[in-house]
This record gives sequence, C-alpha cells and structure tokens, in this order.
Amino acid sequence: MTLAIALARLVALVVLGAIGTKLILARQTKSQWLIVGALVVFAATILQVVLQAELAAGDAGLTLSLLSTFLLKTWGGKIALGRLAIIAALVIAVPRWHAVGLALAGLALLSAPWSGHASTVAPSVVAFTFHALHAAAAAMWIGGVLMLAVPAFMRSEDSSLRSSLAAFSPWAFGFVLIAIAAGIGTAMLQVESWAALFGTFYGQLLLAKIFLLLLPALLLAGWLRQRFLGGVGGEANAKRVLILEALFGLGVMMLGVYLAQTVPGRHDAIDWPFAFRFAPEISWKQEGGMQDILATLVGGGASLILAVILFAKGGPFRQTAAICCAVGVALIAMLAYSVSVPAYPTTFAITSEPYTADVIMRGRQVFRENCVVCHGESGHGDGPGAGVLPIAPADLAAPHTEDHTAGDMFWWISNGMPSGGMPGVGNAITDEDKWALITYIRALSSGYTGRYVPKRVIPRLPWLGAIDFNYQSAAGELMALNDWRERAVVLLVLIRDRAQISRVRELLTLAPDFEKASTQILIVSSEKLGEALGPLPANATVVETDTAAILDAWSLYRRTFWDMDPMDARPAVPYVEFLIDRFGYVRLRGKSDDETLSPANVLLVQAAYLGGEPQLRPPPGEHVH
Amino acid sequence: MAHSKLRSSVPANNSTVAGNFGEARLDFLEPIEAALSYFTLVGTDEAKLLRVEGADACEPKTCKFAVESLKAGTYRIDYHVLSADGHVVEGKIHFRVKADQ
Repeated sequence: MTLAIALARLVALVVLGAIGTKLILARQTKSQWLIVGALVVFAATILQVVLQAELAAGDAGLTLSLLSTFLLKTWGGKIALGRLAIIAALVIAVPRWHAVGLALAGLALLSAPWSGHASTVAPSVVAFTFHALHAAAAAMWIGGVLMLAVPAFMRSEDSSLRSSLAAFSPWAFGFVLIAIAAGIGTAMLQVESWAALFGTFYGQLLLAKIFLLLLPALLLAGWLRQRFLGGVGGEANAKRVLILEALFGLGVMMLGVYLAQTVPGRHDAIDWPFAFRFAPEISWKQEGGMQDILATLVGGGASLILAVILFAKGGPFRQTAAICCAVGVALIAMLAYSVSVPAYPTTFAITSEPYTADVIMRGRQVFRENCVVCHGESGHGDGPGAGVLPIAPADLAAPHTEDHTAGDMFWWISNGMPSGGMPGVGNAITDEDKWALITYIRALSSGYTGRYVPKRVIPRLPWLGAIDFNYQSAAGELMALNDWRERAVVLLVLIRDRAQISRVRELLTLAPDFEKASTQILIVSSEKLGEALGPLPANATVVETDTAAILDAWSLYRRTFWDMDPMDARPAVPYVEFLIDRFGYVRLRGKSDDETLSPANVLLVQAAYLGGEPQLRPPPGEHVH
Repeated sequence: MAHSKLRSSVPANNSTVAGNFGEARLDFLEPIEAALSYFTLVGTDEAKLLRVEGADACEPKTCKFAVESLKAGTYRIDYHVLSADGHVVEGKIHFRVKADQ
C-alpha cells in the first residue's frame, strides 16, 4: 500500500516537473503530450488520495462518506482537493496559455509536500518552504532530464541534443542548487541528530539517496555541462551519459518519495550500527583527555592547513604538502579515537517507561531481585558477590553513570559486560522492566546530585527534574503532578508522621497567599489526616491513598550533604517539603529533622519568586535518557 | 517505539487505577486529525466496551473521553489516530483496575 502511494506520488511529481520544464524551455509545443501528461498527473493524484484515505480508515473500511470526510475535514484531504483543482485547471490551460499552465504546474509542485512530513514540524512555515522548494526544484530538474533523455533514447540520431542541453543546462543548474539547499534544510528538520541519521531507516535511506544516487547523477551532469557543452565528446557518448544521469535521477526521486512515506528519523527508534560513538564531552573529563584532544586537534588542523598552503604554492612544495597532509590525517584519526567511547545498538534507544514513582518503585523491585548480589543493597558496588569479579561492580550512585546513556545500560543489562564479569539477563526480564530498572538507577544517582538542592531557591538555576505521579483530586479527577507544568508552582509536602501536622496547618493558613503566588499545595501523607485538617482551601489537595510508591520514590531525593545516608539506613523522613517550579524542576527542599525547614512566610517568598521566574530551559524529559 | 506519537496518557500505560477515574486522556506529541481517529476501550476477553470517534473527543493534541465506572480487571485502550502528515499511528495502552477497598 505504501509502495503504491509512493509510486503514485513519483509519477505525479516527475510528470509535473517535465511539464513545467517543457513550458519553460518552450521548445516544441506538442500540446497533446502536455494534456496527456496533465491527465496522468490527475489520475496519479486521485489514486494517491484514495489509497491514503483507505489507510486512514483503518478497520472501518473505506466508504464514500469516509472519503468525503477525509477530503473535507482533514488537512491532507483539503490539500489533495486543492491540488486536484489546480491540476484540472492545468489540463484546460496547458494547450492554450503556456504561462498560466506553467504557473499552475509550479503551484501543483510546490503544494505537493504540504500534506507530508512538513506539516508536523513547528514552525511549519519554515518546514513547508524547505519541503516545497526541495520537491519542486528536484522534480523540475529530473523531469527536464527525463524529457531530454527519453527522446534521445528512442531516436537513434538526435543532432539537436547539444542545443537542447545548452538551453536546459542553466535552468538545471539553478534547480539543482535550490534542491540541494532546501534538501539540507529538510534533512535537518526531519532527522535532527547524527544518531538518527545513521541509526534509523529514514536516515540510512537519506544517506543512500545522497551518496549512492545523487552524487553519481551530479557527476554525470557535471561532465555534460563542463565537457560536452564545452566542446569535448561526441553526441553518442553524451546520449549515454544523459540516459545514465536520467536513471540515477529517477532513482533519487524514487528514494525521495519513499522517504516521504517513511517514519522521519526524529520520530523513529534508533538502532546504532557502529561499535563506538563520538563523545568529546566525556573524554574531555577523563585523565589526560583534555590534553589529548587539544594536542591532536591543534596539531592535525595545523598540518592540514599547512598542506593546503603548500599545495597551492605548487612545484617542489607539493611533496611536503603530501607529507603534511598524511600527518594531519593521522592526527585527526588519533583525535577521533580519543573522543570515541563504546556504543551498542541500543545506545540511543528511548525508554518506554516515564519518570514516575510507580516506574521507579518497580525498577527498585527488579534491582533487588537481580542486582544486589554484586551491586549491593544500596547500589554502591559492595554486594557479597562482588569480591570474585575481575573489576569492582560500578557504584551506581556515582556521577559517572551520567556518562552512559540509558540505552548503554539497557545493553549491559540484557547482554552483560564480559570485561567486568556482569552477566546479562537476556529475555528473563521484560523490556519494560529493564527500562524501569534503568529509571530507578537514574533516580538513584539523581538523588545523590540532589544533595545540592538548597533550602532557599537559587534564582535561575533549575536542574533536578521532579518525579511524576498520579493522584486523585478531591473531586475524584485523576491527575498527574506534571499537569501543573506551566500552570502553577507546586509545594509538595511528604509526610509520614502525624506529629508534623502542625506545620501542615501553618502552611494551610497561608494558602490564600500561596494562591496569589500561583502555588498549589499538594500534601501526600501515609496516614489519614483529612479530618484533622478540616475543610481545605481551593489550592490545596491531600492525598492519603496509594501513597507508598510516591513517598518511597521521593525519598530518593532526601539526601543532603550532612546526611547522605549512603547505606539507606533512614529512608523514611518524617516530613519533607519541596518547591517545584512551573516547569517541573525541584528548586528547594526542607526537612523536619535537619533544620532546613524555612519559616512559612519565607517559603511564601520563595514560591512567589518561582511564580514569576521565566522559563530558563526546556522542561525535564518525561523519560530518562 | 517507532512513531509512537503518544506523549502521555491517563491512565498511564501499565498502571493500576481505581475504577472510577471517570475520564481517559491521551496527550499526543503532534496535532492529529480528529475526524479519522478513533479509540476503543477493550475489556477482558477482548470485549469491546466503548468506541469513541475522534471528532467527539479530540482537540489538536489531546483527546478526552468519559469512561463509566469499571470493575476490577485488565483493560486496554486501542488508539488509531491520523496525524497531520498523513501517517496512521496505532497503539495500545494497557491498564488495570483494582478492586474497591
């Protein structure tokens, strides 16, 4: 089905391009071919629309009413209707009014990508412009090449090839430049990362399109332009080159429309094909890393620049230039080696499990069942089985775990780490449980960096993401902590000891002032407090059921510099409160057992500040990575 | 996880909720075409309990529909959405309803 849609699009684009180029060159006005071409485009567009509507219908099956819903109510459908109208007008205009026909063909070409991947990128104007220019310019170029190549192929003698090529060549050059420039734009918008370029089907198709098909087509076109039109080479040779260029060009278009049907790189799961990846930020931090990088970078760069200068001088200097070049390449290769770290197919994989209390607790369960033997109860690499291993198991709470992606950990959990003696679990644990485990490990290490969370908000310095959770509001509505993002600051109170209720009452008396500071008070309690607190103000909620996971997960964020509790002897803090800013970052922590609790009016000032602070960075991801 | 399009949902995938949560909500990464999207609530033994048309439930990026009180058990929301770029995205959200206390 996808293939059929792609083919229909290909035919429409290429024939439209040929029509457009023909009208520009105005060589022969064989009107009946133009009309036939326009009718072919019309038919191809109708076919494409029907096929897409059928796919969209799903299990409902395609009915006439569904088709009309598709055409009239969806973005893709409305664009298709518009294009059909333009092409119908083209059929009428093309035999008589060439200029109008040309404008209509151009419009049809430019509108082709509007219902495709461009419509899902923001800002869409930029995406539409790039995609439209890319498709239109490429279609005009290839359409034109085909228009010249097909007659050359069919007729044994064509002495007008040189003149028709000479007329087409400057236009083709312009189309190619526009197509490449706009193509770079669309590639950046739809792929977004080097990992996606090499690790997704879309990215690999794109690389094949550029290097296996476009490059040869351009080289052939270059030969025709520079050599043949410059007077070198015979007509027969040029004909063969032109046909080859047409074939490669058609291949480029085919991969292009297939790309339009494929999940864009930025949305697809990444299956990394290499055993290493470049991570200068990690190598820089390692011992001697900074010196290695700078030395090879400066040395290699200088050698290459010297090589270019000497080569330009020419003559006897060329030998030295070659040596400099070799030295430069060797140094750059050493640089590449020093910034590369091991990588695995799953290195860039995205977890399916969000950063929530439930997931973290499930991950902790998986950890306790599978990992504590070596990594220890608290994850410090001090388990009973650790002694027999060749190297010590990692201290999972240490900062260096940040240097590895979640995908790296997924690989080690599944396949083990032979050099360290860590066994892999293979399929004994489900993928979702593995991601839950990784989410727990990330939360664990965040808890250690969380020692830095202050008792007074530090302005303009958000960095610790809040742990999401679901709860039921007083009205019975199912809500999530993250629902408050961009709506309110959250004063999150986690209470396990009834004796702390006086503090809660104190905060609640200030609730109207917190409301003015755009702050919600969310109290999560392991005990029933409701009646003791009386009627609650509008911006306060008490959660008393299913709170174990929330309290236990957030207790990972309890560690302070003077109470790091690395052996988890005291995980259940009687009372701790957090201020979470409007974008999901934890900015303040106060505990009842270490005098970090702010006076309530001071807390109010902190909340008011956060209510007015602008967004400084994107909100923390919904998932760990 | 290719082309998942779903940013988050309430109930969340693989979560356990009380039977009276009342309203299901699906948040998508990008705008979807409500007209040709639909959602099915499936209970035990693949019983189709509810089918909601996108036209009744969806704004550009969020779809919400009311769910009557559910008994304890395993449920699933199957979604079929048409995204603005013409791609159809289908997925399943599994969740459990726990027994009343």
